[in-house]
Amino acid sequence: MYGNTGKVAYINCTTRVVEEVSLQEDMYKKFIGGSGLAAKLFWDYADFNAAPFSERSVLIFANGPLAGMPLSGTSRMSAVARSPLTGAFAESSCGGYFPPQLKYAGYDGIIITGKCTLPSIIHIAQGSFNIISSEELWGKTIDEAYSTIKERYGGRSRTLIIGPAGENGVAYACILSDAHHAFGRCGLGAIMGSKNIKAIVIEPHQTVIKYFEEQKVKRLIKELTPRIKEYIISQVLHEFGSAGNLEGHMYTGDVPVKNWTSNFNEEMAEKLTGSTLTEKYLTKTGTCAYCIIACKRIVKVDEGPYSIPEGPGPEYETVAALGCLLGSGDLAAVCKAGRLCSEFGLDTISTGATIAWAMEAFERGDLTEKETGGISLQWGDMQTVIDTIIPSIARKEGPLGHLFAQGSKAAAKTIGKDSINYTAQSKGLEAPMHDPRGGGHGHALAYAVSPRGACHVSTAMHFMETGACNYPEIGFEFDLEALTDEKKPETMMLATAIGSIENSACFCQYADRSLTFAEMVGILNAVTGYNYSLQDALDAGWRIYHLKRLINHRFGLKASDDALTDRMLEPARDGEPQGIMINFNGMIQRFYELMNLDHVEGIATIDTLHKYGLEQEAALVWKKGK
Amino acid sequence: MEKGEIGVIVEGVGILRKELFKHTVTLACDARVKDLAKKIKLKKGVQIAFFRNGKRLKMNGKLRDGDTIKVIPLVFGG
Repeated sequence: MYGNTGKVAYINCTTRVVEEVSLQEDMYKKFIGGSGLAAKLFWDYADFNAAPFSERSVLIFANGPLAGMPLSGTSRMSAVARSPLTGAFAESSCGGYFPPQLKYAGYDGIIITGKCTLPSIIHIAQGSFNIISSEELWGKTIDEAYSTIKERYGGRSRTLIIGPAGENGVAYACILSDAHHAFGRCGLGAIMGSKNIKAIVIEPHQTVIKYFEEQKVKRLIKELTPRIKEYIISQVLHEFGSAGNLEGHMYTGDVPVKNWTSNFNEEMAEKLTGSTLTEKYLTKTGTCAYCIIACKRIVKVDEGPYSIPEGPGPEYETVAALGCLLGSGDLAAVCKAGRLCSEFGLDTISTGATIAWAMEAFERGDLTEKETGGISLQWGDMQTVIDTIIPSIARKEGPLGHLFAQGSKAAAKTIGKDSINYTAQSKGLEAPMHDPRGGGHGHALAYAVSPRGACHVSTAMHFMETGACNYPEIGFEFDLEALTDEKKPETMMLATAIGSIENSACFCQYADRSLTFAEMVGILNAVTGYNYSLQDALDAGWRIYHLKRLINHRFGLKASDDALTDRMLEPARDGEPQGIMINFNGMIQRFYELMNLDHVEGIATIDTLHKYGLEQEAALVWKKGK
Repeated sequence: MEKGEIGVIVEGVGILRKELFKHTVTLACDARVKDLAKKIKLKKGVQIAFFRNGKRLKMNGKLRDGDTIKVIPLVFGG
């Protein structure tokens, strides 16, 4: 097998048995790897009656076929499970150095089920897996655990670690790789915690990966590397990080402010944008393996109430979620709040969104000090956010901690008073920091039909809608107007396939932006020998998308779950998009038609599923659904 | 500034802040945004948009003497 290793490890934490599972080449070709392969493994191995924190639940990590090759943007992997936040299909992707190490160890993925009797780590060395009790690590922050593990297993070991939030079952706890790169979304850290696994540690391995066309792979790496480096997005990311154009986003109305009640705040934009971060707090840049972009920020705040030592700095989503969304333009406070989330193991998007919803609820009187345990919530009060709210959530302390740890949708249901109308989420997953009302109406569609809930990276819509890429070889030459619905469903159809391919090949959406679609497919073919035509690759992308929708259907989701909240669809109150309505219903109906999705069940018709080779899956779900 | 001309204050935002310092551009009194665009030279590959008082201007939009125009880079992601 080329590119892939052909096997995954199946770990039962209850019995402490580790098995090696060989996978057929056909499975890789149908589901590419990464997100697609993990979804297929989830379909095959999950107990669909198991609650997220059940001993019987599964947590799956999967590499893409490109992991381990020395090309920018290829060192990523995916993780999937049933989300404790949404109850639906959960997935998240992560960069860093762990993915190539797992490939070098001879595995494409890890399937974890059961529950360790004691807090433990999974240790991978010399190609074998061991479960080692590590009670002393439980309760430690991610930074503390990372230091201990590094001392124990050496500086070249790579790690996936959860923090106290994951241990305590916070519904949006994350997993950090090497204490910096995050499987941020959907609460996968809490799944790991429910299995009593504090960390997965991998020591260096030396397996040589075989490529289908060795010389062509070398040539492609040589050709593409300078192009990726010189691309304008790469340059902005390198110099200013992913928040590099926060200020520009603010002018277009893309950045949600104060729980999506505003789309414009000039002062906040200037204070929080990436160039300000670079000037004031950046000490150096960080990177994933083999990447020349180096978009990661390493920051230090020397003085003041929010001083922090040198360490991981905030990305765009964190800056917007813990700054703009909370009504704060204090960049030092954002850095500190982001650092705290990293240490506790909290997803910064869901953390910020839940707190922002609560601040508005408090302002309206829907939430009072009775429910918060005497804590007053005020826009921009970062001292309280840092000293009280974030630690309370991570530790699930007091009424506020318990309420907020559920996420905004569940918390809104708990307090009632129609407060769910002003959450910003889909399927229970808090929306990322791109407001479709200003950023582009197609993004409203992307959020609604994403299998994991409101998500801006499961498709390529964000980039396609805003003119950052064009794929004439597959018919995408649209010069789209952001603030209309024109051609958005058609674009979304292609964006769905492209996003699935990117997340399954595990190709970073920053690094591959300068590539043509044909080049992306060409790399996959040269590495794996899949011999995809462009249409084959698109079909694989759509197959993966439909499979994820089938998984959601088995969890009880229907077409009606492809929805956004009132707040996300009300006309913007200010800024560039002020007063403009999104034609959401028109877009979603057209998308359903284009994708042959059933308007009640929310899954593809039997004929469509057969077209994509999902006959067995179709038989099971349509028999159950009808 | 001569008779029949207007002065427009131009300022780059975000990643353009260093490249496009706040300065005044002199234009004909009937100048439109596209005329201003021709006078601004930026890094190759950066698409830009022009905003006045937080609102995006069309390329055919008329400029007024004393306008403050923010130049926004259209680079997406994050």
